[in-house]
Amino acid sequence: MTDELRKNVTRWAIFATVAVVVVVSLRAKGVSDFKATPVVMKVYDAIESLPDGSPLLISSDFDPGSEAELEPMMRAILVQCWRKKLRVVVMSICSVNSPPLAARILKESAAAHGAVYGTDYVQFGYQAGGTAPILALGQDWFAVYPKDENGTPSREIPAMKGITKLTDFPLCLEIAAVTTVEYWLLAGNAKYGLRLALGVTAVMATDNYQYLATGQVVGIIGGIAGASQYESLTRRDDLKTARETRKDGGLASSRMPTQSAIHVAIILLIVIGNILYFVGRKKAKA
Amino acid sequence: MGHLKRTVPLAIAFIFGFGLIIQYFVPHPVSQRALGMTQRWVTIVGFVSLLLGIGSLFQSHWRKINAQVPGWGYSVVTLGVFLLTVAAGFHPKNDKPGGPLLWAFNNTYSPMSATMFSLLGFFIASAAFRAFRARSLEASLLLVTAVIVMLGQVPLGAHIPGASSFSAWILGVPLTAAKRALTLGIALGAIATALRIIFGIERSYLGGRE
Repeated sequence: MTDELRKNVTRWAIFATVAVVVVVSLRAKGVSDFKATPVVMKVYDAIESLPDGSPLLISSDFDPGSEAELEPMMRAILVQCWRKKLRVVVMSICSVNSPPLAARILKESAAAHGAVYGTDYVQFGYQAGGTAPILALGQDWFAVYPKDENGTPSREIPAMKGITKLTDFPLCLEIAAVTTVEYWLLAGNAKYGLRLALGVTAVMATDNYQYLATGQVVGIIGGIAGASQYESLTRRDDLKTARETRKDGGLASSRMPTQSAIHVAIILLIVIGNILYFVGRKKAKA
Repeated sequence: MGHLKRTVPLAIAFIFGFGLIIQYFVPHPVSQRALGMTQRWVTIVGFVSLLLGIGSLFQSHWRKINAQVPGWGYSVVTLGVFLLTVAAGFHPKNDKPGGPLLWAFNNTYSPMSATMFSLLGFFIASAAFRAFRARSLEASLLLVTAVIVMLGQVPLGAHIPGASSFSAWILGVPLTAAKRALTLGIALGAIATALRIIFGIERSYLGGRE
């Protein structure tokens, strides 16, 4: 067997292994039970400590590529918001692809929990310019967003009562798959002292641990694992239903077994790769 | 022409760069209004740069179609879909539920984007198999750490004594220390570069020669 052929066979064997593991674990329809870590609990506690009816800003900065990780996370957080009757204000600084996703998630979650647009939540569109819109929101919300996504004047929306600028929000939750986290840290937190909590993809979570120790963010929900932990806090009934009916239910906890299986498969592949490496080295020496 | 190409951009960079640094420390209403105005300019410039991007996209793909370079068919698809999307934007329902723009987003962009991202799982598995080899002490340390952190991120880790707590320690202490050092280094580098641009020492952003 030539080197090139061996490489190709190995690559296809790995791809086939991953495909089989994904399909089998999805077919098993398991629902994981993940206890929330202290880092995730901090986000939950920060939202829980807000008085009922408080405004909560959510910056929805992800697109379909990271939807699988961040959609269940946003849904789990929204359940807590609806229970506490928080006024959820959603905006985007990531891309024009974020608002349609957020709109769908908001609409479905609100409908399931009886939340009403305009009173319990409101959505504003995408703003370009990185830190510029955040800095401008810190001065005058209505100059940046004179109208909501539906064209209603922002000042007339009940959910916006008492809000004139960024610092009127006691907490901002940045749900992100891109570098917008840094914009919120630089402009929102450093400039205006806005309290920030993060919900980010798994690969981004490690980048942002440094801001926990400095107190710049109150907590981090990282990836599908973090979302699953948050569901264990806010969607216990849905988890029970998913276990009983063996239906996915769009829950992160239903996706977690697949991720766990893939992680184990990757670890096994690394072990096999190392065994082959040492066997090859031994043969070469001989 | 030389003044317009070099002196004027350098002067603009100096005035706005230096002016906005001073503005940051001045809470006076005049200073705040000036900040608000420049922020609106940034947003407008951002959208204008989008137009430039569209122009560049058209130019690049049109050239490929004209010259019929290998793969020029993809350029036809790119421009065709672009024009269709623009046309959908002029539809009265636009991006409202049932409108063509939202339909296209939900039924084409969204699944294609998710598909592209999910391919990453296959490539990561293949890359991990090839790259994580215990070739040296450093590589072995990286390998062991990666495995422990990976286990700490899944429910399975909870059944392995110490895996979760050790994973949390790696993330909270060595990772944070290393990331903080990197972030501070990058920030200092960014400040130095910004000062070089403001004072006209760094001129590569003007294009061409120094």
